Order: sequence, then structure tokens, then C-alpha cells
Amino acid sequence: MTSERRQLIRRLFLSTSGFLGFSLLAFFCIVALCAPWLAPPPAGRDPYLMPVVEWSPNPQPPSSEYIFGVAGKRNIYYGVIWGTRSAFRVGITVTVISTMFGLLVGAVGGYFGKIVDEVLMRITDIFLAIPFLVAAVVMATILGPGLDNVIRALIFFSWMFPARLIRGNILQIKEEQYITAARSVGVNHVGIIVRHVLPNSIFPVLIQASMRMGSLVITAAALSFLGIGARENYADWGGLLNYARNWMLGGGGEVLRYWYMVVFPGAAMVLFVLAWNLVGDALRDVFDPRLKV
Amino acid sequence: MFFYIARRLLFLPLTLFGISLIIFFMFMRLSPEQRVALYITSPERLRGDNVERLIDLHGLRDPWHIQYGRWMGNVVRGNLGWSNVGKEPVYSAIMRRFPYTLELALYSALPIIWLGTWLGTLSALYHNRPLDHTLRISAVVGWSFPDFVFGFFVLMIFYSILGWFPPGTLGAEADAVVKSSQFRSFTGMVTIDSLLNGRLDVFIDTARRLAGPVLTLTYVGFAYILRIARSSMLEVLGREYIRTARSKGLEEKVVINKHARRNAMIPVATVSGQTIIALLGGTVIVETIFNRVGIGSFMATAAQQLDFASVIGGSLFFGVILVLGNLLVDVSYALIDPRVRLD
Amino acid sequence: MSVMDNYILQVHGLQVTFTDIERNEIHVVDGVSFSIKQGETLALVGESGCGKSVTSLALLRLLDGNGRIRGGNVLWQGRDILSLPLREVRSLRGREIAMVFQEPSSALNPVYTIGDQITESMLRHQKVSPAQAKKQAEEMLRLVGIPEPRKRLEEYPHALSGGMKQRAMIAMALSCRPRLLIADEPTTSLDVTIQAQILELIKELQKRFHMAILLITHDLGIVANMADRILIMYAGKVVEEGNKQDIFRRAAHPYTRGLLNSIPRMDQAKGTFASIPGTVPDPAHFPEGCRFHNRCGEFTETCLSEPGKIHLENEHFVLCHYPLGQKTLGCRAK
Ligand SMILES: Nc1ncnc2c1ncn2[C@@H]1O[C@H](COP(=O)(O)OP(=O)(O)O)[C@@H](O)[C@H]1O
Ligand SMILES: [Mg+2]
Repeated sequence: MTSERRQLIRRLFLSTSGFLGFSLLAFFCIVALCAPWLAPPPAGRDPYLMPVVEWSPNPQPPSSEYIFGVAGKRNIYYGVIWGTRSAFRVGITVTVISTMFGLLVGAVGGYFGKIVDEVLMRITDIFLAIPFLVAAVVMATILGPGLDNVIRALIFFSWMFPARLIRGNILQIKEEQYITAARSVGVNHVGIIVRHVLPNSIFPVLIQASMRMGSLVITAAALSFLGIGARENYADWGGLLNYARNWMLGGGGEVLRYWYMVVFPGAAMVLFVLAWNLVGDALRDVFDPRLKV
Repeated sequence: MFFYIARRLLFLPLTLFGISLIIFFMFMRLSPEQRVALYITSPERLRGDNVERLIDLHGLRDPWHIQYGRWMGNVVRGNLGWSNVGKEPVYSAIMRRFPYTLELALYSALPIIWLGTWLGTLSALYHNRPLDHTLRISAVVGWSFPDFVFGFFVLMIFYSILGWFPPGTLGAEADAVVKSSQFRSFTGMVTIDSLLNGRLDVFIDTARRLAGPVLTLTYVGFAYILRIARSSMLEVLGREYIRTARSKGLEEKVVINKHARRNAMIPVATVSGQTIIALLGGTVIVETIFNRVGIGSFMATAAQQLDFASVIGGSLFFGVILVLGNLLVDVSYALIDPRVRLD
Repeated sequence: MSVMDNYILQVHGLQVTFTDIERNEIHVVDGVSFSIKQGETLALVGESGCGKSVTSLALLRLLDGNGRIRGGNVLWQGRDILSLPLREVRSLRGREIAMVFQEPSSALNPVYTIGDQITESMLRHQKVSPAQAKKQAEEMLRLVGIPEPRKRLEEYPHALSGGMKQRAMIAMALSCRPRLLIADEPTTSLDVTIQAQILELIKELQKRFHMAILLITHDLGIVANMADRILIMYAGKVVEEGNKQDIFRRAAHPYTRGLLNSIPRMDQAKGTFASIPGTVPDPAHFPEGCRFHNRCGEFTETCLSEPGKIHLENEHFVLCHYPLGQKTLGCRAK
């Protein structure tokens, strides 16, 4: 049993996507942890507010001083480094809270079944009927700017996915248990959920969560990009891209001149999301029994 | 089949009611002063100390259920308030922009579903061989690309370097043609109307401008379909009826294209609804980047300028469109799967 | 074996392996040999997991993607199916050799009508028009005892009961008048009363079409009723072979005895045998020597070495160090 599990974990790390994904994640963790040394903030200031380094509002291409260039009077390198922390903060907070809430809703629906389940699932469907980004835009507009409000908006519209997953698992297991329950006596359903359903659903939930992590970070960045996410000048990849917007759209044929405003924060974001997706992919390959062979 | 669709239709008003409630409770967090814009039909009324009077008039301090009823009454009559961004009532602002967004969504949905299904099937047929690995990697990478990052790359490459796909909805000349009195509008979708009017130049202009956004949405969206098509094809290929088909001596081509494909398409049909949902969300970003007219860019601008009436009207509209779209998907699903059809 | 017999199918030393997730090759079928005469019924018997289905699929090269045939040959009228081009194997499938599977609900494609699935193989193998094929299909459905055949042609599998589905499967398999029918547990998933009807139907059609049958089952009760000759399989090997009388009256292998003892007590649903302790070993860990030794009542140390094939009487062979009921050890067969 344990050796089997160890083997699964070995396969997880040795698969191409698992190896790449975990390495990338480790890299981002290190960047986030070492941010104060990689990009020292000015003493006594909130490190998440990107300090002004230039007085001219014009973007500047990478130089020896500002290796990723300057945008909106701010050092892009500084924003990319500290933005890693914002990305982790949004991704992890939203995923953890929405997963827990989703687990609760799904478990209640799956456990009680019948009308409770029907009602909860209808509600879930309704929440799913508004495009995620559109819903987040409305919510963020109403709540006002700030990363915390972005997090709230995202939680509000992402608990449905784990809820559905866990409900499906519970219904399936209930069906199986029904057969054995007929043979044995006195089955405690709560006990079954805690002892059988949750452990069995851990991997599907984890797989889904890591896949969702990517799209959450993208959506949060999209809000900042649109100017309704994190506060202005907050260290956040989407916010950095927001600087690029005006220059690129107004810049006519000169879009290419400002490549660095997109490429560096964009690359950070793509790699970050890619890392989570690769991890999710590897998890799925190893743990999803349907796709074995 | 009948009951299946009847059931869906029965839930339709319920879902719409739910959506309106969610949106209602979201905007109830706004102050009455901010909410006034949702009720008025022209901006003159907002002048001076009228605001307080309007709040009283529309009962914006009443209990929530009364306010909800009143708001719904307005919404049903097509009064979604005044749009500061559009400088016109929200409803007509949305209706004027809808064809552009629909056009973009339609042109993107087709390649997403077609490409995703085709490549996903290919990937499954070459399971664990180099082609499969290549396709999976490009799918994961595509899936990881935020549309705004990819959109910028498309702008850089296809506009700045190659000069092929300019941003915007229409060039100045084409725009003048479309706005002229000789140009008759049939659908509101410029690609179709220009052909019906025999203006190939307008068609080419608008098609070039559509290409960039379509490319962006396609690249970001096909990955999901690919993944579903691949795994469902793999699953179907392991089914016993595939073995039965082979045991009858059928050519491999027939086994795959007839017996496997149709079954594998069932999950793809279910998620294509979700894909279109994501696609409509994506128009918010893509229309902004490519500077296009549409509900997405309308909502984005409105959100930045705190034009609440427009944001809420837009989301309500998206919700309704999606519910109707999903109904269509469900019906098409029933057409593929006889088990559902005959229920 | 003698040359004079008119065998239509001869299998020699068939070896099948599967590759598992860790890329190990696992021997699932290990040197299986048998032959089938024109018009006879050969039963392949053993508990679940012995390798019966794998053997039958290998005959027509229908193994899953991770399965490989590692040796042996399958002679169909003198030609080795295993070395024919796939194109020619395909033209044999369904036309000369047809198959019926265990679970009709999953063996029929849910999204095509019964009629479509039956006419499909006729259109593939015979020069008939779609209209003719449909007519023949209707005839076939009538022949297998499906009421209102014309209406059924237009129906989807899920609209039929399990027994009716299996009848449709049989109609489909026999639509091109094959000379050999491979029936892999054709009644295991059906109710007992329906089982009997289906078996009766198969017997009747066999007479009518003069075809041979390879009947795979774990139920010796069925075998008594249907088979001419019997092949007992255990853990990827044939452990005993003989005609029906030899096996039922003079079973020599302890495993066969165990199977016979458990006929009335058999648990239909699981295909396990009450009187034999333990379960079929996993192919990745077959025991050394005689593969049955860990479940055998006659176990001695000798059983840890590989047993040889022993010729008992005319066509009765056994693979055992201590064949039961034999006063002296028979002469070893080649
Ligand atoms: N595609 C496969 N991959 C790996 N192992 C398989 C595969 N198909 C069958 N097996 C294994 O081969 C053995 C024999 O299976 P089978 O021939 O189906 O047994 P039965 O005698 O019940 O028909 C079993 O242990 C089974 O697990
Ligand atoms: Mg079997």
C-alpha cells in the first residue's frame, strides 16, 4: 500500500509534465520568498506599492539599471518580482476558500439528496450561467478596487466547480455503498462521507484545484489589466500590463517598440499558470484511473 | 425528447430569475445615489438636487423585495437605465453592439470546436506517441496563455511586423460606407451585410480586423476542447462496442469515424456550451485589446468609469444569452445521443 | 495430432503478453494449443481471469493496444492468421469468423440503430444493396426470435431488454453466415431462464448454418449441455483437454475436479467456485512450477517444477504431476 503510493508519487515527479511543473513552481516559490533580496523595496515603504523610479511617464526599454525596462514610471522588474507574491496570494486564497465552500455545498447536496440536492444544484447552475470574467467584472466594479476585493469577487463565483465534483463523487459512492449497506447493518452516512468519500475525492479535487489556480490568476490579472482589479501601482502582473495598454492601442504601428511592457509580465504570468496546469496534468495522469494504460 | 426539452424550458424562467437575483443583490451593495442611474431614462434628470427626489420616486430606500419587483418590472419592459459611457439608454447601447460581439463569438466558436475536436481525436489516435505529446503540450501552453497576453503578441506580430490584421472594427473608408444611406443593414453583422450589399472591399476590411481577435480567442479556447475530445476519444476507443465493430471486419477508418467519433462527441457537445460561455467572457478582454465595438469592450469601459447601469445591464444580457445558448447546446446534445432523445 | 481430421482452426503455442503502466511485459496466455473441427462445439472453460477472452481475441488479432502476440500460430484453413496482412484478417472477421460478447449492453453501439449495426457487416462483406441488406437483417432478427423485427431494426439498443440485445448480437454475428462463431460467455450477464433460451437458440442456429463454435464459459453446467470437446484453462495454460465424456467422467486434473464439484453451488454473478479455495493468481505473479499448486489439495514438492503434458486416452490430455484417477502415470505425450 505505502510502496504503491510511493511509486505513484515517484511517477508523478518523473513524468515530463510533473517534473517541469514542480520545477517551475519551486522557482516561483523561491522568487516570492526572496523578493526582499531580489528587489529591495525602499526603506519604510509598503513593498507592494511599486516605487516611482522615473519622472517621465514615457516607457523606457530595458537597460543595465532597469533590466526589464520602465513602465508608468515604475521598474518592471520590481513589479514582476513582487507580483509573484500577489499571484500566489490570489491563487491560493481563492482556491482554498472556494474549494472548502464548494466541498461543503457538494457534500450537503450529495448527502441529503432529493430536494436539497436539486435546489443546491439549480443554484450552482445559475451561478455557472454568468460568464466567469463578466461576473468578476461586475462584482469587482461594485466592490471597488483592491486585491482583497478581487479575491472576494473570485471566491463568490468559483465555488461551483468543486461543489459539482464532490457531489458527483458522493452520489457515486452512495450508490456503491448502497449495495454493501444492504448486507451489513447500521451504516452511518456521515461516517462514510468522512472516511470514504473525502479520501477518495482528494485527488480529483486537487487536480481540479491546481487546474483552476491558473484560470483564477488569469482572471485576477484580467481585472487589473482592465483597471478594476488591484489598486493602481500595486505590484501585480495584470497591473503592469495595464500600463502597456494605452501605449499599445494609441501607439499605432509602434506596438512593437513597447514589447518589453508585455513580454516580461506576460512571460511571468504564462509560466506561473503553465506550472499549475502542468502539475494538474501530471496529477491527473497518475491518479485518474480512467485514463490509465 | 419532448420531455427533455420541456424540462429545460421549464427551468429557463427559474434560471433567469436566479441570475437576476444574483445581480440584484450585487448591486444592492451600492448606495441609493449610485443606483439611481439604473432607473432613469435620460441624463437631464440627474441634474442638481434631483437625485434625492429620484431616490424617493423610485423607492430606492424601500425593502429589498419591493425594490426587486420594481427593478424587474423595468427590466422586463427593456428599461435598463441610462448609460453614461454610451450616452444613450443601456438597452439600446447593448442592442447596437450585440451584432459585433455575436459576430466575433460565432467566428471564434467554429474553429475552436472544429480544431479542438479534430486535434483531440488525432491526439487520442496517436496516444503516447510524439504527435500526441506535441499536441498535449501545445494545448497546455495555449490553456495557460491569458488572452490579453496572447492578444498583445498577435498585435505585435500580425499588425506591427506583418501589417496584416489591423485593430479596430472598421477602417475609416469602410466605416463611411457602412454608415452611408445606400448600405442596407440586414443582420447587423458587417461581414454578412457587406456581402449582401456586394461590397467586397468592406468585407475584406472587416474580415482582416476580425482575424486578430478570432485568432486570439481560438488559441486560448481550443485547448479545452482538445483535452475533452482527447480523453473522451481515448475512453470510447477502449469500449467494447469498438471491439465489436472491429470484429465485424470494418475498416479502421469506419471504426474511428463512425463508431468512435459519434460517441466521443457527446462530452464535447456538453462542454462546448461552457466554451462558448468562456468565449463571451473573453470578448471583454479581446474587444478591449483590439479596440473593437462590442458588448465586451462596452462593459470594460463602463466598469472603469463606474457606469454601474451599463455594467449590470451588460451582465444581465450575457446571462440571458448564455441561458438560451445552453438550451441550444442541450438540444443538439439530444440529437447526438439517442438515449437522451428517447427519454 | 492426426492429419485426417477436418480441422478448420488450429492454434499452436499461442503466447500473449500485456504491457502494464510500468512497461513490464506480463505473460497472460502461455502456450495455448487447440483445434476445432468443422461443425463442432469446443468449450473453453475456466474461472474469470484465466485468459479465456484474451485467447479468443488473439485469434482474430483484436487485442487491446497494449497486448502483443509473442508466439505461436493460428491456422485458418492452412493460412496463419497471425502472419496475414491486416487487410486480409479484416476480411475474415465477421465473414468467416464472427464473435458474440459477454455484455450485450456494452457490445452494441448505443448511438446507432440495431438495423444499422446488423446491415453494416453485410454491406462490408457481401455484394448487397442497402435495401437487400435491410431485408436480410429483418430475416435474421426473425430467425433469432425477436418479435416485430421490422420495428426493431429502427430501434436503438437501449430500447431492448438484455436478452433481446443478445439475440440482436447473435443476429449481427451470424448475418454473414460465418463458419466459426466465437461466443465469449454469451449468457453470463443474463437471467437464468433467458440463458437457457439463448443457448437453445445458439444450438439451433449452429445446426442450421453448420458452423463450429468456440464457446467460452466459466459454467460447466452450460458445457454439459452444449459442448463436444472441452478445454480447461487455468492461469494462461490449458491444463486439461478431452471430449465431454472424458472430462465429465474421468477428469484428471484437480482443478477440473474442483470445477465439476462446484457446478450446483456456483455463484453466477461472480464466476467464483465455492469448492476451490483461493482465487486465480494475477498474471504478474503466477506461481512457479504447476500454477495451480497453491490451491491444490494434492500438492507435493514435485509440483514446484513444471508439469509435462500427459496423454491419458484417445484425445484426453492433462497437464499435471499427479493426474487423479490414474492408477499408473500415462505415457508422456510429446
Ligand atoms: N488490456 C489489458 N491490459 C492488461 N491486462 C489485461 C488486459 N486484458 C486482460 N488482461 C489480463 O489478462 C488476464 C486474463 O483476462 P481474460 O482473458 O479477460 O480472462 P477471462 O478468462 O475471464 O476471460 C486477466 O488477469 C486480465 O487482468
Ligand atoms: Mg472473459
